[in-house]
Amino acid sequence: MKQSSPEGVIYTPESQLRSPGRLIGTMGRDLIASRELAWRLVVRDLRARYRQTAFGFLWAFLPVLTALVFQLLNQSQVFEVRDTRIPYPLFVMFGTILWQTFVDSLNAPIRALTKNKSMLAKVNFPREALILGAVGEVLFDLGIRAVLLVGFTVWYGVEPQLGMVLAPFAALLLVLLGMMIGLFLAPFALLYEDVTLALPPIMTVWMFLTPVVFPVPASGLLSRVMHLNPATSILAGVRDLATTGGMPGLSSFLVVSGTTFVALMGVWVIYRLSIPILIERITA
Amino acid sequence: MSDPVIRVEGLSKKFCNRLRRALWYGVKDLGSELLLRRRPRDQLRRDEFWALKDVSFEVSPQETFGLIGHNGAGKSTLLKLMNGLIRPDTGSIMVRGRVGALIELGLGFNPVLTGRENIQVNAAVLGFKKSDIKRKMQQIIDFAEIGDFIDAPVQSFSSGMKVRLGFAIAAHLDPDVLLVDEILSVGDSSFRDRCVSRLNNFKEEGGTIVFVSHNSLAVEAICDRVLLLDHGQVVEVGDPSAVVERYETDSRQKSFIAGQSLRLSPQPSSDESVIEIVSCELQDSEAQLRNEFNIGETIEIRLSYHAREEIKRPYFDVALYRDNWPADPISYMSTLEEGFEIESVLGSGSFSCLIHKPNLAPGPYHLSAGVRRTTTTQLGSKWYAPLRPVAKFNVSSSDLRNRMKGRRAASLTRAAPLLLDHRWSWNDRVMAVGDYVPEHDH
Repeated sequence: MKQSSPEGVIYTPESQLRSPGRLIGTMGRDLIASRELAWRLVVRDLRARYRQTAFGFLWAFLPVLTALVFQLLNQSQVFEVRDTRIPYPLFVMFGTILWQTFVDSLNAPIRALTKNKSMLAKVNFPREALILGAVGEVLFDLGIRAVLLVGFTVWYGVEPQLGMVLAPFAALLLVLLGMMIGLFLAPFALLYEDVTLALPPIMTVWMFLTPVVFPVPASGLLSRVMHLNPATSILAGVRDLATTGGMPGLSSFLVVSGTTFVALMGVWVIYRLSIPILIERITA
Repeated sequence: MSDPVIRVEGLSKKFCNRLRRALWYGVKDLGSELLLRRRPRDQLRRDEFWALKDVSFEVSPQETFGLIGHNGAGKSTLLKLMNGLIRPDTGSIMVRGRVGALIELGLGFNPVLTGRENIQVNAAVLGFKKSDIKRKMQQIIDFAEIGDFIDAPVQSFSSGMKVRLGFAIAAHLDPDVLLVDEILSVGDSSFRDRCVSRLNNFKEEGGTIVFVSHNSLAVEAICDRVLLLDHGQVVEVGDPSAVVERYETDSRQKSFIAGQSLRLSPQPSSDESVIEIVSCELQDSEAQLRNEFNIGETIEIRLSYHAREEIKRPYFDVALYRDNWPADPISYMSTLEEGFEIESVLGSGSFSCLIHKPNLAPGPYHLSAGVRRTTTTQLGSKWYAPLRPVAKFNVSSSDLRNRMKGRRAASLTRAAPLLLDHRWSWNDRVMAVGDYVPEHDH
């Protein structure tokens, strides 16, 4: 005789937001329950990614390296490069890799959802697992690239500072910011492919509004736009922390981080509520 | 006696059949969900229809509950709602205990990863804990019967192996309630047998099953109670044989609604084929057009053809199938086998094949017909007109069912297409005689 719990699950048309206590409870439970699956998905995707390659993990570096070389060769004269406090190649290196990580974490939830659409529509597993898994993959890539960054930092003879230890945690916030935006877009991306199509051009423009390959100009319109850009404070913050051990823009870094956390919770709720509606639309 | 494991009350679900509008409704629904607006869920918006309407039923613990109905009747939607994948528009569903679904096997398999690696992922998706996976790994591998292939990439598996592996994983899940959707339609017969025996094990261990299938034989054999759905509404709930009977009668009426003979529409490629079978009529011994025959009643298959060019020495073939066309035919009749040669044909004509006292069991049958060239060409036999379905008919019996004791026996006889006259003896004493084919035809 099977043991069945006395209390069953009940599905009704009522919005789950009407019982926020229970919603938060199940969200927490599902998050915990999704760890193992998330881990499996990370392992699956990473193995699958590299199994059919000859160069294997080199591919975690190669695109970034190429982009970097290109940036350095093409030290563009379009923007006036202000003095950077660290060697310019190192500046570009950090900028490019961190930006790539940001883009990856923004795309991760969208990719995870579209890729696992059929699984989503047919099996009831904790939906958080997909997102955790996707972010796990981003962190793996970041980890590999971080090795590269550490190597270059030592190569350029940057003096080690205690504050540098905090850089990985700051980088985590960059990932969270990207993931929050991606998680917000993901349900819409599943309904409308316009979202996926629009992202690459938007990200290109966004990159030029972020101090990736050149520092924030002292004044002017671009400078103001850059300061309003949430990616600026986080990305520049991580880079400053990692290369100098300090963070001049700490206050804006903290503001953006706090906002990201709060927004992430809201976006998570939207994500959860949207899944049943999405499944109905993508399979009906 | 005990509380139901599943309780569905006044359940309705609507879908939209226009993609763009459906997507827009999706955005709107999400909006109102977030803004806590109560939307009028019981009203259909433009282009919407009820996939399920006012469905209520209960499933008791340890019961095997069948859902049958035509494609689009709402069976899968109902399963999805019970699985919590989508939410109801009206009404409610209560499910007690851990739910497992045997819906699509091998979901999320990655082709470049090995069988073993895919077991780990798929099992995790289905809700196995890490320790469960470790513990059951060897059992799953043994059950899947794929031998050394387990460490080969799944893309090198045959489709049968993939299905077996998928099923092996799902079968080792240990839920309280198992939702099963059409898994019996994949795989070969030994796979089907294993599925059924696994379901029976699960049942004996006290599990509750909700079983969805088109295969009315399987439903009748496995289920304790059956619900018949039609266009999202409950037609009947109750005893399997009664509900299955109703379902089959309904579908029979639907398929023969156009009249008694099946007239084929000309094929688009008809310009190229030199000869075409234009119609097929089934007659009884009194030349009456029929689609229902009693056991042992003579059936005459009359086929009309039209040959655009002169064809030398054509052979006419007729194949008889159970309702599982295109499986192997039960019987294959060819003018070639009988040495019946026609010198040549041109224009319209007809031929007929009379089956005298067919000892076919009650049930649905299909006929295919074709015109063959000859067997002696270099590339083997070639077709003037390849075999294709031309007619359906039913063999029914009012008295056979009465003679059968118990529904399990009935469903077994219904699964077997052939009736043989036979005699049972016990200690050399004749106990029973099974004469199926009546001595006297009309």
